[in-house]
Amino acid sequence: MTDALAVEGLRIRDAGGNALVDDISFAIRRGGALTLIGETGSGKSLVALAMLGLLPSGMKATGTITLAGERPLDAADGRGLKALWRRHLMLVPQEPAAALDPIMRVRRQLALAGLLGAKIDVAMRAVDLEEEDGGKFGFELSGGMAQRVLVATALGTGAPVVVADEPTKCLDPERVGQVIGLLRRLLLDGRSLFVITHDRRLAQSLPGQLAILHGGRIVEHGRAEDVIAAPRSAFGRAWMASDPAAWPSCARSCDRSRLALSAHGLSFAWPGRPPLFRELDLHLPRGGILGIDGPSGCGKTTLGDVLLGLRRPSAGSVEWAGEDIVGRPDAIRPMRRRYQKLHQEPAAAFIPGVPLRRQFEALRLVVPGFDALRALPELLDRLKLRHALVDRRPEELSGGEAQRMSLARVLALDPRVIIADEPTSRLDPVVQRETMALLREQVEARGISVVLVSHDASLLRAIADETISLARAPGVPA
Amino acid sequence: MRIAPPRRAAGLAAAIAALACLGPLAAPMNPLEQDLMRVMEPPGARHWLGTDHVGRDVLSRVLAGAPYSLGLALLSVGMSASTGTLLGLVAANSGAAGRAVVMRLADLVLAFPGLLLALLLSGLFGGGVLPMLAGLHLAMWPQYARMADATATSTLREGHVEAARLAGFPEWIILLRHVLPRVLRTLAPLAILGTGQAIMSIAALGFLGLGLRPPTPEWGAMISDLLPFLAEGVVQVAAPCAAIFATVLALSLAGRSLAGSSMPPRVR
Repeated sequence: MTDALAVEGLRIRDAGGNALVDDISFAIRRGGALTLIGETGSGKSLVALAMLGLLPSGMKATGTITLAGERPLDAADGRGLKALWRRHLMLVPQEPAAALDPIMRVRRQLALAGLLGAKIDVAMRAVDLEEEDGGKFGFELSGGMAQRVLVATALGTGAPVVVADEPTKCLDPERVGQVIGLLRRLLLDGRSLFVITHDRRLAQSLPGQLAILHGGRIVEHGRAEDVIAAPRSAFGRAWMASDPAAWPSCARSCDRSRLALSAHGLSFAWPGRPPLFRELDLHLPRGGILGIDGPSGCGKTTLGDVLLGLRRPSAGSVEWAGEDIVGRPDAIRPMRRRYQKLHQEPAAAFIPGVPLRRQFEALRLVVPGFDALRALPELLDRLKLRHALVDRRPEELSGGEAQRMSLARVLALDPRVIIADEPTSRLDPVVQRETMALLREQVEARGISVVLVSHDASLLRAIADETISLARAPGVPA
Repeated sequence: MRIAPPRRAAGLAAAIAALACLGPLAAPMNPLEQDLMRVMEPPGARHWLGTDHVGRDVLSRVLAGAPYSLGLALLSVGMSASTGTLLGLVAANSGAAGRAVVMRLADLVLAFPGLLLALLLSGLFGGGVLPMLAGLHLAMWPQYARMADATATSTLREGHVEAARLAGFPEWIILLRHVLPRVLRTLAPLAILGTGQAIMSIAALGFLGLGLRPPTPEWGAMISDLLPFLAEGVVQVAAPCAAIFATVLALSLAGRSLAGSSMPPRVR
């Protein structure tokens, strides 16, 4: 048998007997890769958890999982599957910084993972970690370095099958490139890869097979190049079309003489640190979309806060509709409600645990004449949200629903400018496209201006009228 | 079927409240009546939990003591938690100077052993319920203030608070709607543990002749009264101990299920 991993008839049911994953079969040959893509909630991560015998209690798996050289195991046999860790199976978890013990040195973490003496050095060299990095504590590592340590563990243990669950989640493009390099290294080393992702770029850069999971079923499965070039299923086509590079371009003209927001000679530095940005000028006309991009830690979010009057710049001025607001609460007050923010974490704008309807009703305290009963249904319709969703709590919504609900909340405040801080980076591509289209529609219909902060340059190219790129601030590790 | 946590918590709380209100009525005998011919009698048909060193019915005393032990403990904890919450919110919301004032005040109080302050006040004002409550209140508020300050400070940094500020909500509404519920949720377990401590403090003060005076049937005082007679009557000493234990256990269970139900499980 040449398959390193074969999964047959995998079904996962929750405690109520509902099928979450329905009859999935695939095989990965030795040295091959399978990338599984799909939207959030489609059951991708459950497949990985089932393979590792880590399903949450209450969920039941059926089917067989076979690893090369082992007898076929029942998917319900969690203990048997766990016994295969390290020797046969290795997991590269999502959010690498959270997966390492912050107060343990790198060498010790590697040793605990089963690497011995000289093997540690070999594994570290393979992922370009320096000798002295071995003495660093988990908390001293940047996200990229933590990811390399995790891959070093997988390399060092010699497990033939490596499972990577969303290895590029929340990473900026530069680091995504690094992760792709690391995963390819594993393939060169003769390992088999099972990668779960909703990252377009990662899916497109890995060789081997590509499978698309939708509603718990594999709707498409084939060679990666073929699936990407000509997806056959409707969901596959929507997924491929969600690449911002493929969005229809929109040439718009806005009246540059009427500025909603502008800044002159803006600088900001944390006390005792070199400035994050210096002498920045920006102009946002009414109805315009201004993109701001740059790597993590370059001060994108801080710039947004300065423009919103939440933080005082070290130097320079911020003007709202022609009026300087730096250090002038009296100038901010009458316009406060008109300058709003969309958060990166979709549900962040809502109080956890409180039904959304109550949170919308409370807006009448700040918006004169706002009647949730009258305004809400129309608002929800425009954002294509089901009316029943407002009776839920914020954490009971999916990411896409929560972000649209946040947009509804911001629109209810009747804003002039929305500063959107990575509003879609936590959403999967299809949902990102929907959300962005809705944002653009609303902006055009109401003449709202948007500052779109993102590290996705292709997204900004597709949607922004103009883009400002910030450089990495000095002293921030890659 | 599993009972839903909020209902279970409500059930336990109702049982405790019923004990506090109806306990004295359920007492089969007069809890103060001495019968010197029947001292330290073992449990039997007439005295289910036996009699104490002056011949009083232990079951009646445990039941009649519920409003004193429980009521006063809950009252003192409620007062300290309210003061602590208020001062904690003030500290979290009034900048570095305001926090420094409140927290140094708290440090000052925390420097004294809690019981000593209550003792001091009770001694100065000649004992009685009010000085005892004031003393316990003074000794207990700092821990609630510290917890409230820490929780409020971290909540004030969250996205929903920023979003509310951007929407133009006044600061007091943000404190009331966004911060206070979270603070109360973290204080609840502390208050529940504090109730057990308060029962014991009230007992200690009673033992020293301050606070509640004998022959008031108060659980802590009953334990200290009967401790010298442990060899003759294990059941009699165990009864008030069991009452305190059951109460604190019930309160913690109620608190835990409340804390569990007020935050929905994280949605994957």
